[in-house]
Amino acid sequence: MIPLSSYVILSAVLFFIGVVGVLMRRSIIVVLLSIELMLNAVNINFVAFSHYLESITGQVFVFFTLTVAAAEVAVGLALLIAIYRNRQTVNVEELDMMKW
Amino acid sequence: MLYVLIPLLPLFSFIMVGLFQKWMRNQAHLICVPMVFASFGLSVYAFMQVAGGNPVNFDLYEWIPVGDFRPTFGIMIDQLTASMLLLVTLVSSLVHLYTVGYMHGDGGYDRFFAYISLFTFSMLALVMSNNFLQLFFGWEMVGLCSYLLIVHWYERKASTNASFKAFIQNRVGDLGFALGIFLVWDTVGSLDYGTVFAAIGDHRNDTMNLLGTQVNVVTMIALLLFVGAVGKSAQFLLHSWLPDAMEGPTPISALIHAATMVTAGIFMVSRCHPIFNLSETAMMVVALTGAFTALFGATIALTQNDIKKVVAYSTMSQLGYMVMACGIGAYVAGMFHLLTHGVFKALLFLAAGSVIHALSAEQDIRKMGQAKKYMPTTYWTMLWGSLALAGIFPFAGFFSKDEILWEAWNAGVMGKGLWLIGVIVAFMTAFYTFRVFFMVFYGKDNMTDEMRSHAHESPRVITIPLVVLAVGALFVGWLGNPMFGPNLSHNFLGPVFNTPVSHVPVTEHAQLQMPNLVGEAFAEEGHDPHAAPAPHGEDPQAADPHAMAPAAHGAAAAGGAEHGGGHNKTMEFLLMAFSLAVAGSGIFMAYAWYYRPNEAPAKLAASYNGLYQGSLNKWYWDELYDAVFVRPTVKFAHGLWRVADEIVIDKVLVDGVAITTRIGGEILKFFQTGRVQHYAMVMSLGIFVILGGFFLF
Repeated sequence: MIPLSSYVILSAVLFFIGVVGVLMRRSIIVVLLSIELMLNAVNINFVAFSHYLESITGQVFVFFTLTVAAAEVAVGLALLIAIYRNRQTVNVEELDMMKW
Repeated sequence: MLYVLIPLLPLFSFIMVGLFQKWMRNQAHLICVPMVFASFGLSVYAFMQVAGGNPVNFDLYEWIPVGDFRPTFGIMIDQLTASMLLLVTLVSSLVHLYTVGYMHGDGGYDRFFAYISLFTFSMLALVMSNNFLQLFFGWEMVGLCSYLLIVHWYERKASTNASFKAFIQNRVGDLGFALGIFLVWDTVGSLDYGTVFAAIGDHRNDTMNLLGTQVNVVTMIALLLFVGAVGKSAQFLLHSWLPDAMEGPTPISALIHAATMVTAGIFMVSRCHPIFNLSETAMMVVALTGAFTALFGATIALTQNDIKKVVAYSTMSQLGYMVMACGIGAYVAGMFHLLTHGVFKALLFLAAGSVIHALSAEQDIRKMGQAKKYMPTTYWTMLWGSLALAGIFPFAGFFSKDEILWEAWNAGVMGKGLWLIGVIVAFMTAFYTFRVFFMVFYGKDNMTDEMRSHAHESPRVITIPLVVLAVGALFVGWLGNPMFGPNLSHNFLGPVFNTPVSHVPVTEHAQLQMPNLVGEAFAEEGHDPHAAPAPHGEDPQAADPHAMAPAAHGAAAAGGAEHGGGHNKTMEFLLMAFSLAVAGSGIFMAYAWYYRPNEAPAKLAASYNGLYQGSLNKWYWDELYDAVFVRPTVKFAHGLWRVADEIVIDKVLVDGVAITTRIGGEILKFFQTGRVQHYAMVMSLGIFVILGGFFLF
């Protein structure tokens, strides 16, 4: 029997990897992947607690998260392609025109 | 309840004309004139009722009840009010009629009618009031109407300046008046005339702390109320607005600035006589102010060259007469002069207006002359008005003025001095009145050809009011004729001052509170038909108080005119003959100097240049006020504009806010890099800090 704490630690580790990815990586594609990673870290938490608390709510919630994540990926990739066509780059550091 | 209509009819025409001015198309008189004449008819009815012994006093409704303070709108018509009603509605009706001709073709014709109707309403509300608050309401409303009408030709700078001056000087007086009313409320706890006048006697020894000194409350009330009268009746120190108010159209000068509004001060002092009677000091101040104003106005009127200005200064001077009469306790004489003066001064103004109207709006009498042949009706009516003002025998001014002089003669040592001033003023009045008269209708013809070609008699709608008033100027004085039969003015008005509205026995007033002046008058007369045997001597214990009351009041109010006693009668006739001679010599002097072109006035002016310039320049009071009040105020306001407004508000506050936000933005903009990861970093750090804080504390 794997204890709950293991799931939570795993989830935390994945989440921080995601955060660091979002903050550090230059490619938008990797940033989006990192965001997916954060979402799924949360999903692991949901499922683990759902099992531990014997409540179905957490698992239902995960479905919603997956749906939103799928939609987000679709929109995000579409935007990414649009940006690339305009700017010929996917480097976030070069996409800084929203400033004074 | 029919009486309610007296003020409401003019108010109705104001509302109709005021609201629907656009559709009036210069036909406002179709509403206003019938309304005001109806109001006049009702006033005659009210007068008859009162004369028949039915004075009324009732409350209409509670106005603004606040806690204990429950002011009402009420109507009181006693003899005093009834006479004022007659005067106000009569003059107002005639002026309405006159306006139809005088203002014909004026751009503001309908507006003008709206405002004179409003004025008539306000004045009626003032005189019909039965409490101080409503009096104050009417008082302020007439001031407002005066302002609105002076500034009728608002595109003229002189008009707007004059209207400001009138409004501001009146505010100064009204402040005193308001304080007086506050003090009445504070002292008595009521504003109803009856209650106040009944209770004020109990407070005659009360004192209050004024800047560290104890002063008598009743004296304070009387003086503060009198400040209001000084402003409204253009007495000395707050006088200079009245001559300037002549910038308004002439009907207004006649209605507001001669016959009605400016007499509100005298009316108020008469109405409040139970308060004034309690204070010797206040009475003295009133008498001296009045006498000085009479002299002051007359000296200025001697040299003025604007026909309306002369009449304006003579109004000021005559108002001084009335105030003086009130100050010596001769309220009946004062009110009687108010009534006769209202008639003949309105006549003079309207006649002057007719002259101005006929001579292409020229007001300078030096540019007139020989106008008699162009306008016979105006000539005759103006002659009657001038005779009445000068105080020549069968005309109104003679009776009323001589009554005041006679009362003054009987008012002790100070009264003799006042009498002397009165006689001097009477001489000057006769002189300057006829100076104008001769310069306009005789003298050298100084008109320009253009004026001459247009010179014409005024239309009938102008001359009819003149004729009516001229007849009035001849006959109204006979009401106060002391020679044959009873003196009607005393019989009618006297009771008001004998029995104050309070319906409370007045014995206390009479014995203990009549000022010394009156006491002396009473002592000198020594005989009074009202009082039968009782009131000899001054000792209150000796005299039966009930008999004493009417006696002293009779002496105060009725004066000598109706009293028996061969000696007094002879004396009175002697004085009458004397003042008649004085007035006659004044007229003769004017005749000698101005009937034909004459060098004498110019020579006299040259040899007493200082005096002449002083009189011509109104003794420099305008310049003094300008230097003391106006210019410092303007300078102060200029300073506020430059410093408080332009620097503090505009620069520091308004611009300051803009500059601060802009600099703040300039600095903060560097934090906006446009790079998503920086924002995400700040957001993450923020979450850490918040969560960290949450767990730590």
